[in-house]
Amino acid sequence: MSETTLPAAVHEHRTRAARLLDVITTTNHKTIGLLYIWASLVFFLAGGLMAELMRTELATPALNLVSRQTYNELFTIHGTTMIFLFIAPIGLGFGNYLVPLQIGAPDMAFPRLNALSVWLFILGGVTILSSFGASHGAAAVGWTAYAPLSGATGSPGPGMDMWIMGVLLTSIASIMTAVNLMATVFMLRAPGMTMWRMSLFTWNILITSILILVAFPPLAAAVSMLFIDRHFQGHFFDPSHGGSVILYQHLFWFFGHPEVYVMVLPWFGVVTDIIPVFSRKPIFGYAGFVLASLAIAGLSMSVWAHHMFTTGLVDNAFFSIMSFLIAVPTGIKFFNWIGTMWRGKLTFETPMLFCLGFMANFLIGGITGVMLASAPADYDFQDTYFVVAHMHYVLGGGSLFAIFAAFFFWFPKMTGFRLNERLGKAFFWITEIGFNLTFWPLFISGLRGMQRRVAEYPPGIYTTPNQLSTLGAYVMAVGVIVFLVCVVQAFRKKIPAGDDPWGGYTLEWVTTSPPPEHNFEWLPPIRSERPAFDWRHRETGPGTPAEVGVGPPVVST
Amino acid sequence: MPIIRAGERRTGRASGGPGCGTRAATSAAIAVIALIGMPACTFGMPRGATVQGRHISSLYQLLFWFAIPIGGLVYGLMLWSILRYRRRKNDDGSLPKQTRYHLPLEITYTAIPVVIVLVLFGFTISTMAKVDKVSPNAAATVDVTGFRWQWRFDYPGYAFSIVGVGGTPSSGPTLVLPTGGTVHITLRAADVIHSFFVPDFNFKRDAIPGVTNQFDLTIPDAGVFRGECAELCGIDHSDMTFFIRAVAPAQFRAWLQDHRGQGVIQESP
Repeated sequence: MSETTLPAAVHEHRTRAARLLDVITTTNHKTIGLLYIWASLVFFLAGGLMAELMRTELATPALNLVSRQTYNELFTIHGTTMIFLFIAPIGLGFGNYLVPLQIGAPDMAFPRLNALSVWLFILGGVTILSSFGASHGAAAVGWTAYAPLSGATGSPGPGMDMWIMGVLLTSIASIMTAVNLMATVFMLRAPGMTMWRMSLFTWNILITSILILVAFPPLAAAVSMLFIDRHFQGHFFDPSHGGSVILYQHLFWFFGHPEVYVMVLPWFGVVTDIIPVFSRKPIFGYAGFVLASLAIAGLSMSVWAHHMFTTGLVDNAFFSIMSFLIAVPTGIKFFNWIGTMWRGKLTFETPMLFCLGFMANFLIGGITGVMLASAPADYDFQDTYFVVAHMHYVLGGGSLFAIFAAFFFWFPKMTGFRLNERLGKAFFWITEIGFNLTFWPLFISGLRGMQRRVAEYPPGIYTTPNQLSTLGAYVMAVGVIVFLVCVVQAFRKKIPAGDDPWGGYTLEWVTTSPPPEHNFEWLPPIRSERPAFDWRHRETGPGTPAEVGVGPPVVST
Repeated sequence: MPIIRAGERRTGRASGGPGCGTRAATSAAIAVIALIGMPACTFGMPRGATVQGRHISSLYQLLFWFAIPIGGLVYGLMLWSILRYRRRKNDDGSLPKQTRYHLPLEITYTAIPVVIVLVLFGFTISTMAKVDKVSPNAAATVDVTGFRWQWRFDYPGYAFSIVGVGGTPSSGPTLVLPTGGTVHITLRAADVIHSFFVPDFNFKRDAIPGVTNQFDLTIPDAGVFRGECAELCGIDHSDMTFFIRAVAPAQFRAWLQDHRGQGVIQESP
């Protein structure tokens, strides 16, 4: 509170230590959101570096860069990092930053819980990454950590325990943030902001939060049981003492499949907020989109055992049909996006390019997902590079591209600075080409029978696809360097972006860039899901701004 | 066409002619064309060396034939929107028509995919019934056990078992099976989860501690097929290579008699 009343000059001259202390002790949703986003991006760079090491190892059939043990640690921590420390939390970061702005709230419902969650998340991430220094190395069991391999005999040493603790910490952080986001959406919407006028990003964050509440407690249970098995003779997953190996898989995938949608739904929302802006049209089929998101959330809780088709211990027919059906609401979203572009006036700024790249790549992930839903076909695909390629098209070509769409779209709002469009577009094209070069050949090596999670493979049919894939991974690394240059340049040049550089539709675009401490000095009337658009075109309807918050209203007439 | 060009370039390389960079580019191009073109017949999946594997390959091809028009339609609509509805240079700045809903269209693009996935599900369960069918009178039965980090093949009634020792990613023990008749496999795991995977059969099944899994294989033609472990099982996971050698039934019976009562036969590469 006192900070907002300080004169700008005083603010500028505060010491670096004081500003650092502000960040550490903050309860402001925007600072916490940025902490989530920047921390996730650092974890993304770490996970990407591990991927580059693995691709370099796989450029030849023989082992020539890292040991088998190190390779197993790399893919375990790569997967864990990208899933638990990047894609899921950066979604919560954008949610933290944007949801209060998009619904016209001054902050999140529980600001101190919010601060606790971000630090638990960062602590969890540091725990997982620092396990590389543990006495037997990091966990080397794959991101799924199947028992009994992850037990005391299969995985001795503290690395596995650090993985368990890190995952537990990030799970608790996610649950706290989910509760917070739900309370914010239900309780803190501005007057006029009905549920059916919320932005689709906010809607999808709400649905994601519900999924987190469903999915993460079973995960926390599974890894806790694993910990008890490892240290206190729990025998939960030990068949020789009455336990069940398959129980771990049920618990893990009951988390794991909703988790896929935790990592995808926020980005469906991002794309659905961005495409209309660059098409100059409202979203096509708003209500259908929300219902489709709800249908995905519901179905995602009844498809978990499609990860277990080859165990021979589940009802493959039931889980096949449920998995097939989830393609229907996902397909609806494609028609929402295409319907929005249809007869619009499209321009192709960097965020829009990333949205189109998202659609193009995600479609391949979706179609191969339908193939994987067919249990007998999965008898071939399961645990081969076909699955690796599929899920990278979903999470890399899909979520990652939408993450960058969001980053380029909201960076001006969050920092007040403009990102270089030319570098942004170069980054997009390098990444799109590099991504497809990396992952398309993996479908082919997978169909030819190359199993995942091996550092060595027999020479012959797998070599060429692997080398193309490695080349693609290097192209993507070049893309990331261009991205970093672009970001650093924006902070150096500090070119003001203005409050509304894109002609945005949602509420955050009516406030300043970056927004003030409590987000809004005034609010426009909220009469549709596009309050900022309505305010810009207010000549066609009634509208005087509503005064909110503290301090004098800054209203220009 | 690519084959002819490949031949020309090879001649060029043999004579030590100029244009090394072009040659590299061409061979890279050929590799790409081959990668895209070669799998076109079965879309990349092996045809299947077992009767069950052939059903799976046919199902996969069917799924792919459904995927082509659907993918084509969506990409086509996207591309059309991008090209046709981009903002022109002489744009007057007016807003396009602000369409929000079109209920008949929305119902159509919801209902048609439901029908499509129900059809695909129909093909799925009919294939699954054929692949998962376990015959009561198998021509041969083998007990397969995965352990860290190899396989053990027991031939019940013949008192011998083949145990792999020290495999590598391209070498390992051989599981001998007869052609023609149904082979019944019971699958177990000794320590952690493994997965019995033969790429040429388009099939795998997990070997899970505390669980006995069963499945049938019917191999029509003689041949040697490489198998691997598909479930991460620790540091030497990639060494769990094995081979299946399918021989004529008479030959198989002779081979069984040869080994009868020999106990544990260790096979190292």
